Amino acid sequence: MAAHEAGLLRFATTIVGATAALDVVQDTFVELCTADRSRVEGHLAPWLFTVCRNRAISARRKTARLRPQEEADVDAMPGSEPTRSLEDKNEARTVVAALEGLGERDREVVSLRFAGDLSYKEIAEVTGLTVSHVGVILHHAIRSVRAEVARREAGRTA
Amino acid sequence: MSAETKRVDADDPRLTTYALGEMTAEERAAFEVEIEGDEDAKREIAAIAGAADVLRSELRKAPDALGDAQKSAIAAAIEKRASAKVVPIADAAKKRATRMRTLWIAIPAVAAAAALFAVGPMKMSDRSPASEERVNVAPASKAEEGLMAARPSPPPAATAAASAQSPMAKDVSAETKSVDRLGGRHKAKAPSKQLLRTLDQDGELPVRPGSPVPGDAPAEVIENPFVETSVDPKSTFSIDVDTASYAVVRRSIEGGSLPPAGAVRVEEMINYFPYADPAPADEAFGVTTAVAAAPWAKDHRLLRIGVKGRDVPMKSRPPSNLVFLLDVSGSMTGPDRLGLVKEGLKLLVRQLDERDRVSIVVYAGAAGLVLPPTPGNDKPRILDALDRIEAGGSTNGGQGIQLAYAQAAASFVQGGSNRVLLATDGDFNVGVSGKDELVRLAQEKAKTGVFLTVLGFGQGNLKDGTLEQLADKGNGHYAYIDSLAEAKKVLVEQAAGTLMTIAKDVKIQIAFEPSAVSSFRLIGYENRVLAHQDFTDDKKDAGEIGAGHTVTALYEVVPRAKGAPAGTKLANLALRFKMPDGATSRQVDFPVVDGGGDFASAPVDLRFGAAVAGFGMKLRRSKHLGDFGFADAARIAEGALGDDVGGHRRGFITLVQKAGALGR
Repeated sequence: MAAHEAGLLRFATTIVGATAALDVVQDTFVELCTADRSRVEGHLAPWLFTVCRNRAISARRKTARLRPQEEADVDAMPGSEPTRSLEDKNEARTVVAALEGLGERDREVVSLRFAGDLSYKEIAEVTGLTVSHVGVILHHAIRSVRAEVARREAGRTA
Repeated sequence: MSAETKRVDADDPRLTTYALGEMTAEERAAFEVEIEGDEDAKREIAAIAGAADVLRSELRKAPDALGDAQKSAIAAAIEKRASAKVVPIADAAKKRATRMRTLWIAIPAVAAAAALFAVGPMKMSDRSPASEERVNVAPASKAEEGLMAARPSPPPAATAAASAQSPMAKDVSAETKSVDRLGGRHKAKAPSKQLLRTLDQDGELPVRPGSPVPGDAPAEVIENPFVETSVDPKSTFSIDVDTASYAVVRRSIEGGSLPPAGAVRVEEMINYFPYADPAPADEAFGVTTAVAAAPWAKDHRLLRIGVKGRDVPMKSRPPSNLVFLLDVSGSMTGPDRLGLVKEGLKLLVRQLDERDRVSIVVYAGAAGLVLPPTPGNDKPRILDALDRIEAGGSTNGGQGIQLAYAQAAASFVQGGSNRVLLATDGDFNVGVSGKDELVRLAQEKAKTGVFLTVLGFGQGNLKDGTLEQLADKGNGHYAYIDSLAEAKKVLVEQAAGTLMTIAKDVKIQIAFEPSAVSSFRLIGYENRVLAHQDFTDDKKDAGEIGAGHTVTALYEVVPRAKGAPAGTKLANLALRFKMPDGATSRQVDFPVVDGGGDFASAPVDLRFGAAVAGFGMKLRRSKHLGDFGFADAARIAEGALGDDVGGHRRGFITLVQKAGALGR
């Protein structure tokens, strides 16, 4: 269990923020306690991340309602135009800000990979995408992040 | 210039797949060939890897540990688990609707489980009478349902199961709005349902690559159940001489973690050990049976069946035509991989003589013949060729195995042992449908008389299940080699068995006497169980047995009456097999009689086998073990060492003790 604690927290943080992530991960582990072990056996990581993801999305829906300025983000559809709504609170962290310029689904895939340390295959299981689609998304997401970082740095030095 | 030679487009996602280390050894090697000299691609890869590092370290700034409050909530849930009762889903949701967040910890123990594993039944709960009155909590769950069910506009009726998954939802109307706006997202999220349903249906999903034990996740842990003789008095299975599971388990435990239950194949653990069953003089093999009380259930009887293949001394075995097929891709670098392969094969080569032929095929970027067929007594040449092999470069497994089979066919020895020995870390992958093609190829070639033995090395990306299946279909066996000692066991102590098959498609069918046995259970062999009619069907493939190999099977038997008199006939044991080059099978029959003994006075091999079986069942979390634990397995083994040739039984005791310390 402890093996996935950090990854789940980081992943949930990218969806709901650090405070709510604690609850989401707690929820996830509680759910694991009640799950039939034989069903989870062998797919623990995808199982945990799937549950965590569903819970985090639910939690964020509530958060978004309390903070209307972020509703645009909640409404972001996969593949939609980049949303900038979360940028203000992450101004200092160029990379993360660039990440938030990605579409929702792409950001999630990046987060599963780099916050959650999941393999392509596991990401595919959690998101329901094919493994090759995960590869394509990550490739383009990393390129967008690189371009965004370059753009910002150019802007900063200019 | 560079524009002309550029081959890999910057849009090619393989650049990222490569940079993130997500390629199989084979893909990696092939890709390296492709980008050879492609400086743009290499720069791109470096940039991607750099960006990935930054992303990783940025995202790791997030908190990475739960607080005490969360931990104690989880601990509470763990405690609750024991006492949790499954309440009707609708009830749980009603409670939820009134108690809301303050009490959610107490309720979700049930509700969350219901939610997770009731993904399928969601539709069912649409029909639930409770769904109407719970319309006020519906929206939150509607969102969940939308996320999971891929319905652009789900019906308003919510499901209790889904609502249980939204413990944080409070304000109902706002939720409704956000759900409506979420419509477009449903499609993309839908697969969650698929995943959960897959989990729900005991589907097989792969294990994460960093798991403590090498290997793709073997299928769901299934244990052969007790079968009532009044329902079906027969049991039919294929023998299995594989031993890899034990070495895999050992490596995991020695690495400090108990193996995942699915990686434990009890029959392979039992069969790892040599047993002292008498070798038959002229028959292909002999059968020994013994019955005693089961150590984990004293009213049950434990039946041990020992099948021993005829022993053929290395000197009098027929000539061998061996093709070593070595994976020399980059991932095989290292002393526990290619280094061990070379040392192990040298051990084998030292036992060969002038009648034998050895060829060596390596596969990497391209497959290549390193050593043409060379007489077994020309050892310097063979050893030298082995020495010169180095890992590196790319991989083409498909081509390699084709070449190896072609080589084996070219130097085919009539009446001899014709065999490809594949040594790999298992990243043996020839594309999307590669595994099936490979298995088919092995099966086809087995019919031509060339058998396949698989030696698994290394850890991490070892495709345990694939290798087992390959060897199984290729009429060979699969051994996992994690040390020079293990190489010695497989390639020296059991060399004759490894090199020489004495019977193939060996099947066992037991017909229990319903008058004496009320139910029975086959221990292990879960993936070797055959349909009864397959027993006499010569087209149905089954396991092979090598010279001197012992195969042990254990049944746990529930007798009809306690304390039945000694000499009660429990069953009839039938065994079918074909000669290595035969097409039709023969059957031999043996009665199984219960001598009435207790466990302590049982033959030493029954007791040792029971210790290993108990250990394996413990690791698989068998529900049939009662309070039998690691200490019991160690204690029984301690008293059942026998001659312990090679010290393997001693090693077992140490391993069980380590496992006990890791606890469960």
